[in-house]
Amino acid sequence: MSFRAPPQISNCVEKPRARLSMLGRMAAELNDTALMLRYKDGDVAAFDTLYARHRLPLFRYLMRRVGNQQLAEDVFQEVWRRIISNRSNYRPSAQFVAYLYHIARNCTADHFRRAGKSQATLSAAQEELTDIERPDEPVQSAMQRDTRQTLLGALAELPEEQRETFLLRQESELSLDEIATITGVGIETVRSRLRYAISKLRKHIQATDLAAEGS
Amino acid sequence: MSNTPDNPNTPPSIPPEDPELERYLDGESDLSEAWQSLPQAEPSAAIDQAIRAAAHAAPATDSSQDQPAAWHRWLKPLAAFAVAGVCLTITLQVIDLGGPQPSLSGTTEFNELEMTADSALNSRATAAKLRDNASPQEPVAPESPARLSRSAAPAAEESVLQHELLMAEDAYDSIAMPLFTETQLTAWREGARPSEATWQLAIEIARRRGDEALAVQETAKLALAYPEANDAAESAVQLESLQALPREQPTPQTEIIDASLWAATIQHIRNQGDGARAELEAEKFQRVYPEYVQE
Repeated sequence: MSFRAPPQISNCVEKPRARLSMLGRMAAELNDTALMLRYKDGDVAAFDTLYARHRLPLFRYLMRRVGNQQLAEDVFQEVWRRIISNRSNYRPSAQFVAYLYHIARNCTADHFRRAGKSQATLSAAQEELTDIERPDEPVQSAMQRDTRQTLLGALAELPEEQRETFLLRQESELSLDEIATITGVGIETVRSRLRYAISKLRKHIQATDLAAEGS
Repeated sequence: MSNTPDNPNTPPSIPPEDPELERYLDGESDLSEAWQSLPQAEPSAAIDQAIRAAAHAAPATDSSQDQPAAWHRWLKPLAAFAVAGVCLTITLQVIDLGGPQPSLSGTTEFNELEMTADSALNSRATAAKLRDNASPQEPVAPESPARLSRSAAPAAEESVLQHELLMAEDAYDSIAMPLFTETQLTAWREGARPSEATWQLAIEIARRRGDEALAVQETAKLALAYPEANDAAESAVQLESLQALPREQPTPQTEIIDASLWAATIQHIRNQGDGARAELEAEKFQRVYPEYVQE
Protein backbone atom coordinates (compact mmCIF):
# COMPACT_ATOMS: atom_id res chain seq x y z
CA MET A 1 0.00 0.00 0.00
CA SER A 2 1.54 3.22 -1.12
CA PHE A 3 0.60 6.84 -0.91
CA ARG A 4 0.84 9.17 -3.76
CA ALA A 5 1.68 12.76 -3.22
CA PRO A 6 -1.16 15.19 -3.94
CA PRO A 7 -0.92 17.08 -7.20
CA GLN A 8 0.69 20.49 -7.11
CA ILE A 9 -1.81 23.27 -7.26
CA SER A 10 0.64 25.79 -8.56
CA ASN A 11 4.08 25.75 -10.05
CA CYS A 12 5.39 27.77 -7.20
CA VAL A 13 6.67 25.29 -4.67
CA GLU A 14 6.48 26.94 -1.31
CA LYS A 15 8.13 25.72 1.76
CA PRO A 16 5.94 25.32 4.85
CA ARG A 17 7.61 28.27 6.50
CA ALA A 18 6.99 30.49 3.55
CA ARG A 19 3.38 29.33 3.36
CA LEU A 20 2.85 30.07 7.01
CA SER A 21 4.50 33.40 6.55
CA MET A 22 2.17 34.21 3.68
CA LEU A 23 -0.90 33.23 5.70
CA GLY A 24 0.38 35.30 8.57
CA ARG A 25 0.84 38.22 6.23
CA MET A 26 -2.70 37.92 4.92
CA ALA A 27 -4.06 37.84 8.44
CA ALA A 28 -1.87 40.77 9.39
CA GLU A 29 -3.01 42.70 6.36
CA LEU A 30 -6.63 42.07 7.23
CA ASN A 31 -5.88 43.29 10.68
CA ASP A 32 -4.02 46.32 9.35
CA THR A 33 -6.94 47.36 7.20
CA ALA A 34 -9.40 46.80 10.02
CA LEU A 35 -7.20 48.72 12.41
CA MET A 36 -6.87 51.63 10.04
CA LEU A 37 -10.64 51.70 9.51
CA ARG A 38 -11.17 51.64 13.23
CA TYR A 39 -8.75 54.50 13.66
CA LYS A 40 -10.54 56.34 10.91
CA ASP A 41 -13.66 56.00 13.04
CA GLY A 42 -11.87 57.46 16.04
CA ASP A 43 -10.39 54.43 17.77
CA VAL A 44 -6.96 55.68 18.82
CA ALA A 45 -6.02 52.32 20.36
CA ALA A 46 -6.16 50.85 16.86
CA PHE A 47 -3.60 53.35 15.76
CA ASP A 48 -1.31 52.41 18.62
CA THR A 49 -1.41 48.78 17.51
CA LEU A 50 -0.81 49.75 13.91
CA TYR A 51 2.06 51.99 14.84
CA ALA A 52 3.71 49.40 17.05
CA ARG A 53 3.50 46.89 14.22
CA HIS A 54 5.07 49.03 11.52
CA ARG A 55 7.33 51.52 13.28
CA LEU A 56 10.53 49.48 13.23
CA PRO A 57 10.37 48.12 9.66
CA LEU A 58 9.44 51.53 8.34
CA PHE A 59 12.07 53.37 10.30
CA ARG A 60 14.84 50.97 9.27
CA TYR A 61 13.83 51.27 5.65
CA LEU A 62 13.92 55.06 5.93
CA MET A 63 17.20 54.93 7.81
CA ARG A 64 18.85 53.02 4.99
CA ARG A 65 17.35 55.35 2.43
CA VAL A 66 18.37 58.67 3.92
CA GLY A 67 21.38 57.39 5.90
CA ASN A 68 21.02 59.66 8.89
CA GLN A 69 19.18 59.18 12.16
CA GLN A 70 17.94 62.73 12.41
CA LEU A 71 16.80 62.89 8.80
CA ALA A 72 15.21 59.47 9.08
CA GLU A 73 13.25 60.62 12.11
CA ASP A 74 12.06 63.69 10.26
CA VAL A 75 10.85 61.67 7.31
CA PHE A 76 9.42 59.03 9.63
CA GLN A 77 7.39 61.65 11.48
CA GLU A 78 6.20 63.17 8.24
CA VAL A 79 4.99 59.79 7.00
CA TRP A 80 2.88 59.19 10.07
CA ARG A 81 1.66 62.76 10.06
CA ARG A 82 0.30 62.19 6.58
CA ILE A 83 -1.27 58.91 7.62
CA ILE A 84 -3.01 60.67 10.48
CA SER A 85 -4.17 63.69 8.55
CA ASN A 86 -5.38 61.67 5.55
CA ARG A 87 -7.10 58.96 7.54
CA SER A 88 -10.54 60.10 6.42
CA ASN A 89 -9.49 59.47 2.80
CA TYR A 90 -8.24 55.96 3.47
CA ARG A 91 -10.00 53.28 1.43
CA PRO A 92 -9.53 49.61 2.16
CA SER A 93 -9.19 48.86 -1.54
CA ALA A 94 -5.40 48.88 -1.24
CA GLN A 95 -3.22 47.05 1.24
CA PHE A 96 -2.36 49.20 4.18
CA VAL A 97 1.30 48.33 3.96
CA ALA A 98 1.36 49.40 0.33
CA TYR A 99 -0.39 52.61 1.33
CA LEU A 100 2.12 53.21 4.11
CA TYR A 101 5.22 52.63 2.00
CA HIS A 102 3.81 54.58 -0.89
CA ILE A 103 3.62 57.58 1.40
CA ALA A 104 7.08 56.78 2.71
CA ARG A 105 8.52 56.80 -0.80
CA ASN A 106 6.86 60.12 -1.53
CA CYS A 107 8.18 61.63 1.67
CA THR A 108 11.66 60.36 0.91
CA ALA A 109 11.52 61.83 -2.57
CA ASP A 110 10.33 65.13 -1.09
CA HIS A 111 13.18 65.07 1.36
CA PHE A 112 15.80 64.55 -1.34
CA ARG A 113 14.19 67.20 -3.47
CA ARG A 114 14.33 69.70 -0.63
CA ALA A 115 17.86 68.71 0.31
CA GLY A 116 18.91 69.05 -3.29
CA LYS A 117 21.04 66.00 -3.33
CA SER A 118 20.82 62.80 -5.21
CA GLN A 119 19.57 59.68 -3.59
CA ALA A 120 22.70 57.95 -4.76
CA THR A 121 24.90 59.96 -2.44
CA LEU A 122 23.80 58.37 0.74
CA SER A 123 26.93 56.32 1.12
CA ALA A 124 28.71 59.12 2.94
CA ALA A 125 26.06 59.17 5.60
CA GLN A 126 26.09 55.42 5.98
CA GLU A 127 29.22 55.75 8.07
CA GLU A 128 27.02 56.72 10.98
CA LEU A 129 25.68 53.23 11.01
CA THR A 130 29.00 51.54 11.60
CA ASP A 131 30.57 51.18 14.96
CA ILE A 132 33.23 53.56 16.06
CA GLU A 133 36.62 51.93 16.03
CA ARG A 134 38.07 51.50 19.49
CA PRO A 135 41.69 50.62 20.44
CA ASP A 136 40.72 47.68 22.65
CA GLU A 137 38.34 46.22 20.08
CA PRO A 138 38.71 42.46 19.60
CA VAL A 139 39.83 41.17 16.24
CA GLN A 140 36.49 39.44 15.67
CA SER A 141 34.61 42.69 16.12
CA ALA A 142 36.97 44.50 13.81
CA MET A 143 36.30 41.93 11.12
CA GLN A 144 32.57 42.29 11.61
CA ARG A 145 32.94 46.03 11.32
CA ASP A 146 34.76 45.61 8.04
CA THR A 147 32.01 43.36 6.78
CA ARG A 148 29.35 45.91 7.71
CA GLN A 149 31.20 48.72 6.03
CA THR A 150 31.60 46.59 2.96
CA LEU A 151 27.95 45.69 2.98
CA LEU A 152 26.80 49.26 3.34
CA GLY A 153 29.27 50.43 0.73
CA ALA A 154 28.00 47.78 -1.67
CA LEU A 155 24.42 48.80 -0.92
CA ALA A 156 25.23 52.41 -1.76
CA GLU A 157 26.68 51.35 -5.10
CA LEU A 158 23.53 49.51 -6.14
CA PRO A 159 21.24 51.18 -8.66
CA GLU A 160 18.39 52.99 -6.99
CA GLU A 161 15.70 50.53 -8.03
CA GLN A 162 17.68 47.51 -6.85
CA ARG A 163 18.59 49.18 -3.58
CA GLU A 164 14.99 50.11 -2.86
CA THR A 165 13.75 46.64 -3.71
CA PHE A 166 16.36 45.05 -1.51
CA LEU A 167 15.59 47.36 1.43
CA LEU A 168 11.86 46.81 1.17
CA ARG A 169 12.50 43.11 1.31
CA GLN A 170 15.32 43.02 3.84
CA GLU A 171 14.36 45.78 6.26
CA SER A 172 10.61 45.89 5.94
CA GLU A 173 10.15 42.18 5.22
CA LEU A 174 7.59 42.82 2.52
CA SER A 175 6.53 40.16 0.05
CA LEU A 176 7.37 40.39 -3.61
CA ASP A 177 3.74 41.17 -4.38
CA GLU A 178 3.73 44.03 -1.94
CA ILE A 179 6.99 45.39 -3.30
CA ALA A 180 5.59 45.18 -6.81
CA THR A 181 2.52 47.13 -5.70
CA ILE A 182 4.54 49.78 -3.92
CA THR A 183 7.09 50.30 -6.68
CA GLY A 184 4.53 50.01 -9.46
CA VAL A 185 6.26 47.29 -11.47
CA GLY A 186 5.53 43.65 -12.18
CA ILE A 187 6.51 40.89 -9.85
CA GLU A 188 9.04 39.47 -12.30
CA THR A 189 10.78 42.81 -12.42
CA VAL A 190 10.92 42.77 -8.64
CA ARG A 191 12.44 39.30 -8.69
CA SER A 192 14.99 40.41 -11.24
CA ARG A 193 15.98 43.50 -9.25
CA LEU A 194 16.28 41.50 -6.08
CA ARG A 195 18.34 38.82 -7.76
CA TYR A 196 20.90 41.28 -9.06
CA ALA A 197 21.04 43.13 -5.77
CA ILE A 198 21.71 39.91 -3.86
CA SER A 199 24.31 38.81 -6.33
CA LYS A 200 26.27 42.06 -6.09
CA LEU A 201 26.11 42.20 -2.33
CA ARG A 202 27.27 38.61 -2.02
CA LYS A 203 30.20 39.26 -4.30
CA HIS A 204 31.27 42.16 -2.11
CA ILE A 205 31.01 40.04 1.02
CA GLN A 206 32.98 37.22 -0.51
CA ALA A 207 35.65 39.61 -1.72
CA THR A 208 35.93 41.07 1.76
CA ASP A 209 36.18 37.64 3.31
CA LEU A 210 38.91 36.64 0.90
CA ALA A 211 40.81 39.80 1.64
CA ALA A 212 40.51 39.18 5.37
CA GLU A 213 41.74 35.63 5.03
CA GLY A 214 44.65 36.79 2.88
CA SER A 215 45.68 39.35 5.44
CA MET B 1 18.63 46.66 -26.31
CA SER B 2 20.88 44.55 -24.20
CA ASN B 3 19.80 43.08 -20.95
CA THR B 4 22.41 44.38 -18.61
CA PRO B 5 22.24 43.66 -14.92
CA ASP B 6 22.14 47.34 -14.10
CA ASN B 7 19.05 47.91 -16.17
CA PRO B 8 16.36 46.79 -13.74
CA ASN B 9 13.43 47.60 -15.96
CA THR B 10 14.45 45.01 -18.49
CA PRO B 11 14.45 41.59 -16.93
CA PRO B 12 17.08 39.46 -18.62
CA SER B 13 16.59 35.84 -19.45
CA ILE B 14 15.86 34.41 -16.03
CA PRO B 15 16.66 30.82 -15.34
CA PRO B 16 13.62 28.90 -14.19
CA GLU B 17 15.15 28.08 -10.83
CA ASP B 18 17.28 30.47 -8.85
CA PRO B 19 18.44 28.69 -5.73
CA GLU B 20 20.27 31.72 -4.42
CA LEU B 21 17.19 33.92 -4.60
CA GLU B 22 15.01 31.18 -3.13
CA ARG B 23 17.41 30.75 -0.22
CA TYR B 24 17.41 34.47 0.36
CA LEU B 25 13.62 34.64 0.27
CA ASP B 26 13.49 31.82 2.80
CA GLY B 27 15.85 33.71 5.07
CA GLU B 28 18.59 31.12 4.81
CA SER B 29 21.13 33.17 2.88
CA ASP B 30 24.45 34.25 4.36
CA LEU B 31 23.58 37.72 3.13
CA SER B 32 20.64 37.78 5.50
CA GLU B 33 22.89 36.76 8.37
CA ALA B 34 25.41 39.45 7.47
CA TRP B 35 22.66 42.01 7.29
CA GLN B 36 21.40 41.00 10.72
CA SER B 37 24.78 41.90 12.12
CA LEU B 38 24.33 45.52 11.09
CA PRO B 39 23.30 47.92 13.84
CA GLN B 40 19.53 48.22 13.90
CA ALA B 41 18.33 51.74 14.34
CA GLU B 42 15.13 52.67 16.14
CA PRO B 43 13.13 55.85 16.30
CA SER B 44 13.66 57.79 19.47
CA ALA B 45 11.11 57.74 22.26
CA ALA B 46 10.39 61.41 21.70
CA ILE B 47 9.38 60.73 18.11
CA ASP B 48 7.16 57.86 19.23
CA GLN B 49 5.51 60.05 21.79
CA ALA B 50 4.99 62.92 19.37
CA ILE B 51 3.42 60.70 16.73
CA ARG B 52 1.13 58.99 19.21
CA ALA B 53 0.08 62.31 20.68
CA ALA B 54 -0.75 63.64 17.23
CA ALA B 55 -2.73 60.50 16.43
CA HIS B 56 -4.68 60.74 19.67
CA ALA B 57 -5.40 64.42 19.23
CA ALA B 58 -6.65 64.10 15.65
CA PRO B 59 -10.02 62.37 16.32
CA ALA B 60 -10.76 64.87 19.08
CA THR B 61 -10.15 67.67 16.61
CA ASP B 62 -12.49 65.96 14.17
CA SER B 63 -15.27 65.68 16.70
CA SER B 64 -14.97 69.35 17.54
CA GLN B 65 -15.02 70.21 13.85
CA ASP B 66 -18.10 68.06 13.30
CA GLN B 67 -20.13 70.30 15.59
CA PRO B 68 -21.69 73.04 13.50
CA ALA B 69 -20.88 76.63 14.29
CA ALA B 70 -23.41 78.68 16.18
CA TRP B 71 -24.47 80.61 13.13
CA HIS B 72 -25.19 77.38 11.25
CA ARG B 73 -28.49 76.97 13.06
CA TRP B 74 -29.69 80.18 11.44
CA LEU B 75 -28.76 78.90 8.03
CA LYS B 76 -32.01 77.09 7.29
CA PRO B 77 -34.36 79.86 8.47
CA LEU B 78 -32.33 82.40 6.53
CA ALA B 79 -32.42 80.25 3.43
CA ALA B 80 -36.18 79.76 3.75
CA PHE B 81 -36.67 83.49 4.23
CA ALA B 82 -34.55 84.27 1.19
CA VAL B 83 -36.44 81.76 -0.95
CA ALA B 84 -39.75 83.21 0.19
CA GLY B 85 -38.54 86.69 -0.66
CA VAL B 86 -37.44 85.65 -4.12
CA CYS B 87 -40.76 83.90 -4.75
CA LEU B 88 -42.69 86.96 -3.61
CA THR B 89 -40.64 89.23 -5.84
CA ILE B 90 -41.16 86.98 -8.85
CA THR B 91 -44.89 86.79 -8.18
CA LEU B 92 -45.18 90.55 -7.93
CA GLN B 93 -43.25 91.00 -11.14
CA VAL B 94 -45.45 88.51 -12.96
CA ILE B 95 -48.56 90.33 -11.74
CA ASP B 96 -47.06 93.64 -12.81
CA LEU B 97 -46.24 92.30 -16.29
CA GLY B 98 -49.87 91.26 -16.70
CA GLY B 99 -50.93 94.92 -16.53
CA PRO B 100 -53.46 96.57 -14.25
CA GLN B 101 -56.42 94.40 -13.39
CA PRO B 102 -59.17 96.70 -12.13
CA SER B 103 -61.36 95.09 -9.60
CA LEU B 104 -64.90 96.05 -8.70
CA SER B 105 -64.21 95.20 -5.12
CA GLY B 106 -61.18 97.41 -4.76
CA THR B 107 -60.50 99.15 -1.49
CA THR B 108 -58.66 102.25 -2.57
CA GLU B 109 -60.56 105.23 -1.38
CA PHE B 110 -61.61 107.77 -3.92
CA ASN B 111 -60.23 110.79 -2.08
CA GLU B 112 -56.88 109.16 -1.73
CA LEU B 113 -56.83 108.41 -5.44
CA GLU B 114 -57.72 111.96 -6.24
CA MET B 115 -55.01 113.26 -3.97
CA THR B 116 -52.33 111.09 -5.56
CA ALA B 117 -53.50 111.97 -9.05
CA ASP B 118 -53.44 115.65 -8.21
CA SER B 119 -49.99 115.35 -6.74
CA ALA B 120 -48.88 113.59 -9.90
CA LEU B 121 -50.28 116.40 -11.97
CA ASN B 122 -48.58 118.94 -9.77
CA SER B 123 -45.30 117.10 -10.10
CA ARG B 124 -45.74 116.97 -13.81
CA ALA B 125 -46.47 120.67 -13.95
CA THR B 126 -43.46 121.45 -11.79
CA ALA B 127 -41.23 119.31 -13.94
CA ALA B 128 -42.55 120.94 -17.08
CA LYS B 129 -41.97 124.37 -15.60
CA LEU B 130 -38.41 123.49 -14.70
CA ARG B 131 -37.88 122.02 -18.11
CA ASP B 132 -39.18 125.14 -19.82
CA ASN B 133 -36.92 127.32 -17.70
CA ALA B 134 -33.91 125.19 -18.48
CA SER B 135 -34.27 124.69 -22.22
CA PRO B 136 -37.38 126.09 -23.80
CA GLN B 137 -36.20 125.14 -27.31
CA GLU B 138 -36.28 121.45 -26.61
CA PRO B 139 -39.38 119.59 -27.77
CA VAL B 140 -41.49 117.88 -25.17
CA ALA B 141 -41.20 114.16 -25.36
CA PRO B 142 -44.37 112.16 -24.71
CA GLU B 143 -42.97 110.30 -21.74
CA SER B 144 -44.14 109.63 -18.23
CA PRO B 145 -44.02 112.57 -15.83
CA ALA B 146 -41.08 111.09 -13.99
CA ARG B 147 -39.05 110.59 -17.13
CA LEU B 148 -39.96 114.01 -18.41
CA SER B 149 -38.71 115.68 -15.30
CA ARG B 150 -35.60 113.51 -15.24
CA SER B 151 -34.58 114.25 -18.81
CA ALA B 152 -35.15 118.02 -18.59
CA ALA B 153 -33.65 118.72 -15.22
CA PRO B 154 -30.82 121.21 -15.12
CA ALA B 155 -27.90 120.44 -12.91
CA ALA B 156 -28.57 123.30 -10.51
CA GLU B 157 -32.06 122.11 -9.68
CA GLU B 158 -31.24 118.48 -9.44
CA SER B 159 -32.30 118.08 -5.83
CA VAL B 160 -35.70 119.71 -6.43
CA LEU B 161 -36.25 117.55 -9.44
CA GLN B 162 -35.32 114.42 -7.57
CA HIS B 163 -38.00 115.19 -5.03
CA GLU B 164 -40.58 115.88 -7.72
CA LEU B 165 -39.52 112.79 -9.56
CA LEU B 166 -40.13 110.57 -6.57
CA MET B 167 -43.53 112.13 -5.97
CA ALA B 168 -44.53 111.71 -9.60
CA GLU B 169 -43.46 108.09 -9.74
CA ASP B 170 -45.32 107.29 -6.55
CA ALA B 171 -48.43 108.98 -7.83
CA TYR B 172 -48.20 107.23 -11.17
CA ASP B 173 -47.90 103.83 -9.58
CA SER B 174 -50.70 104.38 -7.11
CA ILE B 175 -53.14 105.80 -9.62
CA ALA B 176 -52.48 103.36 -12.41
CA MET B 177 -53.22 100.19 -10.55
CA PRO B 178 -56.72 100.32 -9.04
CA LEU B 179 -58.31 103.23 -10.97
CA PHE B 180 -62.03 103.35 -10.31
CA THR B 181 -63.89 100.82 -8.26
CA GLU B 182 -67.43 100.30 -7.08
CA THR B 183 -66.79 102.43 -4.05
CA GLN B 184 -65.52 105.21 -6.22
CA LEU B 185 -68.50 104.95 -8.53
CA THR B 186 -70.83 105.29 -5.57
CA ALA B 187 -68.89 108.28 -4.38
CA TRP B 188 -69.05 109.71 -7.86
CA ARG B 189 -72.84 109.35 -7.96
CA GLU B 190 -73.07 111.10 -4.64
CA GLY B 191 -71.31 114.07 -6.11
CA ALA B 192 -67.79 113.53 -4.85
CA ARG B 193 -66.40 113.16 -8.31
CA PRO B 194 -62.72 113.64 -9.07
CA SER B 195 -61.43 116.63 -10.88
CA GLU B 196 -61.39 116.54 -14.63
CA ALA B 197 -57.62 116.80 -14.75
CA THR B 198 -57.27 113.79 -12.47
CA TRP B 199 -59.61 111.81 -14.64
CA GLN B 200 -57.76 112.72 -17.78
CA LEU B 201 -54.49 111.73 -16.25
CA ALA B 202 -55.92 108.35 -15.29
CA ILE B 203 -57.14 107.88 -18.86
CA GLU B 204 -53.74 108.79 -20.23
CA ILE B 205 -52.05 106.36 -17.92
CA ALA B 206 -54.42 103.60 -18.96
CA ARG B 207 -53.63 104.29 -22.62
CA ARG B 208 -49.91 104.24 -22.02
CA ARG B 209 -50.24 100.93 -20.33
CA GLY B 210 -51.98 99.56 -23.36
CA ASP B 211 -55.32 99.10 -21.66
CA GLU B 212 -57.43 100.74 -24.32
CA ALA B 213 -60.70 99.33 -23.05
CA LEU B 214 -60.17 100.83 -19.65
CA ALA B 215 -59.31 104.15 -21.24
CA VAL B 216 -62.54 104.05 -23.24
CA GLN B 217 -64.52 103.23 -20.15
CA GLU B 218 -63.00 106.05 -18.20
CA THR B 219 -63.58 108.41 -21.09
CA ALA B 220 -67.24 107.46 -21.02
CA LYS B 221 -67.39 108.02 -17.29
CA LEU B 222 -65.68 111.34 -17.72
CA ALA B 223 -68.22 112.26 -20.36
CA LEU B 224 -71.04 111.41 -17.98
CA ALA B 225 -69.47 113.28 -15.13
CA TYR B 226 -68.56 116.36 -17.13
CA PRO B 227 -71.01 116.59 -20.04
CA GLU B 228 -70.16 120.24 -20.57
CA ALA B 229 -66.53 119.46 -21.33
CA ASN B 230 -66.82 116.26 -23.27
CA ASP B 231 -68.75 114.80 -26.05
CA ALA B 232 -70.81 112.16 -24.32
CA ALA B 233 -72.18 110.82 -27.53
CA GLU B 234 -68.72 110.03 -28.79
CA SER B 235 -67.95 108.25 -25.58
CA ALA B 236 -71.11 106.27 -25.88
CA VAL B 237 -70.14 105.16 -29.35
CA GLN B 238 -66.83 104.02 -28.01
CA LEU B 239 -68.60 102.18 -25.27
CA GLU B 240 -70.92 100.59 -27.80
CA SER B 241 -67.99 99.28 -29.80
CA LEU B 242 -66.63 97.86 -26.58
CA GLN B 243 -69.90 96.12 -25.88
CA ALA B 244 -69.83 94.54 -29.33
CA LEU B 245 -67.14 92.12 -28.21
CA PRO B 246 -68.44 88.54 -28.08
CA ARG B 247 -69.68 87.58 -24.67
CA GLU B 248 -68.60 83.95 -25.09
CA GLN B 249 -64.95 85.00 -24.96
CA PRO B 250 -64.82 87.39 -22.11
CA THR B 251 -61.78 89.55 -21.92
CA PRO B 252 -60.60 91.84 -19.18
CA GLN B 253 -62.02 94.75 -21.22
CA THR B 254 -65.61 93.41 -21.16
CA GLU B 255 -65.41 92.37 -17.58
CA ILE B 256 -64.74 95.85 -16.31
CA ILE B 257 -67.96 97.38 -17.74
CA ASP B 258 -70.40 97.36 -14.91
CA ALA B 259 -74.15 97.43 -15.17
CA SER B 260 -74.69 100.73 -13.39
CA LEU B 261 -72.38 102.57 -15.75
CA TRP B 262 -74.05 100.98 -18.74
CA ALA B 263 -77.48 101.89 -17.46
CA ALA B 264 -76.37 105.46 -16.88
CA THR B 265 -75.03 105.65 -20.42
CA ILE B 266 -78.36 104.38 -21.81
CA GLN B 267 -80.22 106.91 -19.76
CA HIS B 268 -77.92 109.63 -21.02
CA ILE B 269 -78.56 108.65 -24.64
CA ARG B 270 -82.27 108.59 -23.99
CA ASN B 271 -82.14 112.03 -22.41
CA GLN B 272 -80.41 113.37 -25.47
CA GLY B 273 -83.42 112.29 -27.51
CA ASP B 274 -81.93 109.37 -29.39
CA GLY B 275 -84.65 106.91 -28.33
CA ALA B 276 -83.98 104.28 -30.99
CA ARG B 277 -80.39 104.03 -30.09
CA ALA B 278 -81.25 103.94 -26.41
CA GLU B 279 -83.61 101.02 -27.02
CA LEU B 280 -80.96 99.18 -28.99
CA GLU B 281 -78.48 99.68 -26.18
CA ALA B 282 -81.12 98.58 -23.66
CA GLU B 283 -81.61 95.31 -25.52
CA LYS B 284 -77.90 94.63 -25.42
CA PHE B 285 -77.88 95.46 -21.77
CA GLN B 286 -80.75 93.06 -21.14
CA ARG B 287 -78.91 90.27 -22.91
CA VAL B 288 -75.81 90.78 -20.86
CA TYR B 289 -77.59 91.47 -17.58
CA PRO B 290 -80.90 89.55 -17.75
CA GLU B 291 -81.38 89.85 -13.99
CA TYR B 292 -81.84 93.61 -14.33
CA VAL B 293 -85.47 94.65 -14.74
CA GLN B 294 -86.12 97.49 -17.12
CA GLU B 295 -88.33 100.07 -15.52
